[in-house]
Amino acid sequence: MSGKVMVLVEHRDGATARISGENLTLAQKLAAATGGTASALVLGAGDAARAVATSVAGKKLAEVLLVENPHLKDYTPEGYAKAIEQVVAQERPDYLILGHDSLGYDLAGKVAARLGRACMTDISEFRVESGQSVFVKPVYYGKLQADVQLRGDGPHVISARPGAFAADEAEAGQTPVREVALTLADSEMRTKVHGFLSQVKGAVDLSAAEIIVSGGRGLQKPENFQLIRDLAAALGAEVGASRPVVDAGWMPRDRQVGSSGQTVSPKLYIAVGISGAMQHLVGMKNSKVIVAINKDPNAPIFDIADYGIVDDLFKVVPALIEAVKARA
Amino acid sequence: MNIIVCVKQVPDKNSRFTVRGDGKDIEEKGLTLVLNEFDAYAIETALRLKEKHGGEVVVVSLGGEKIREVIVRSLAFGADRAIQLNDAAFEGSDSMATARILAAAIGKEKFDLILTGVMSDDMGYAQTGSMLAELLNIAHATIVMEALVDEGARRVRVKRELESGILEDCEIPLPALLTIQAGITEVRYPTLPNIMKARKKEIRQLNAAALGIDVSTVGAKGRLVEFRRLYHEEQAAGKKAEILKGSPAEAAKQLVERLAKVAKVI
Repeated sequence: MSGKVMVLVEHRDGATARISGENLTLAQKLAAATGGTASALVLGAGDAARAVATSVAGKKLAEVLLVENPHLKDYTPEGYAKAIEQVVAQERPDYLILGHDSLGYDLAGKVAARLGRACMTDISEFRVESGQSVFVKPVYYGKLQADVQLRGDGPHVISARPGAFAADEAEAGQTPVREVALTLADSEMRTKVHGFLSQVKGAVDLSAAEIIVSGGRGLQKPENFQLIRDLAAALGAEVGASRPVVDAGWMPRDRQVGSSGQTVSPKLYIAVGISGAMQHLVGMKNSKVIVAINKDPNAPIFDIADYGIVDDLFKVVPALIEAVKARA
Repeated sequence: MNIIVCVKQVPDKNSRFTVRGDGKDIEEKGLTLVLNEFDAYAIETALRLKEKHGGEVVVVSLGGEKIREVIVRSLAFGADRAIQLNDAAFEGSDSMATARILAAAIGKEKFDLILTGVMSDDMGYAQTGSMLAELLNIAHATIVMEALVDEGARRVRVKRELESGILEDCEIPLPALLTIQAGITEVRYPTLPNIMKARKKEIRQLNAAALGIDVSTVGAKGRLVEFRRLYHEEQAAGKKAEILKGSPAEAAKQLVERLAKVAKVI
């Protein structure tokens, strides 16, 4: 066992993604708990990649590995998988850490299958018991937790749930950057990246809102969203929505709060008829005060709420509108 | 175009989830079993591609008698035939073992595209699709919100949904695997003629021997991921929701007071 806990760093246009900060915290903690060392792996091209490596080197790690190659200018599954395969063969880490985000969805399974190693995505916690790492994964719509153990040789491929670890808890340091060469032929590349676009240019910037009232599937019909609009109006709030109601066409895409929509952190977030699927929580869990209204007492939204009402939203929301108006 | 769609049966979100006595899994009682919602979008995407390019849509699923319902439902949407991977030895497989079984079955078929959902609703691993593509040594793209196949069915151009409303526009060669994101299109209602035809369409049963699979690499024996224990989360220290009780009017009044006087956010 090398003891190495290696984070695959995610970045765009020379900036390190927030989730990588979170993963570095996880790596430092996991290394400390297992008597190992934490390191980071940056894959990319040109000055942007170097800038990311330099920035990550400001965290306390054993080293930062940089693989700089024109083929890695954009993320492709085959480019990244090849680079990781080569680095893993040299460095033999015990753990490879990714984020449970679009990159993790694309790459974690592929890398684990390439290496023939155990893979566990979407972990929210870990602990070490009798020398064994035990990872915690929310399961069954987040209503239950599972203690998971991974068997077989390393590296074990793990992805962390966004927001489960705190980026600002990663210890600072001065870490050396070591460049590693990559052997990758043109013929091995399959994906042609044409570019990036913004899904929807909407008028609404929910991230600027102080108060947001969001509705989910619990509202049952698009007409019932009027309740959300009325409560928002009474509070001077913006209206948000969970993904399923946007997919169903009840609300426009620019109202969507979640991992593929807007990330918000208002002083008050009221989630009405929203169960709290991981993709939604990721978009709002840093709100200062969270209120959940849902008739299901086991809905995961209550795990992150400050206040909750477990009751029929069709009775609660009108009562809440009255109570808010009575104060004014 | 020959398109394979991998579908999974999952417990519906509103099922009653109780941990089994041994703590290793959930009780089957109280579960309503349904087709994974992401997979419905994958089936719809396959049907639209077939409507445009011709060919066949084959659904593949892993499981015993219980999964027959989701297979028939998939056929009722309009898929042409199905393959059911059914063997007691497959039970308890982790995602990698599942991918291995799927690869063994699909490897025997001619295909241009394999579609899966981004993840299963209940567990949210989002890994089996990319594992399957790697095991079959084909290109893949995940979280697909648009898939356009060229005239000659040699390449597919996709839009992938990244974070913060950003879409990646990229292109990969066929044969390829795509994991389909919810909301890619609207999902059709099965028509009455298709519902009637569904029960007559072929559901080919394949077991481990038929697939030539070494049973030590699948099921509970072959898995590398072990669930030690399932449980309800103990609330994280410092973040415990104050549940406001009483009638809706009373709870609402208490909430407004807390928000105004304690949290001071209104």
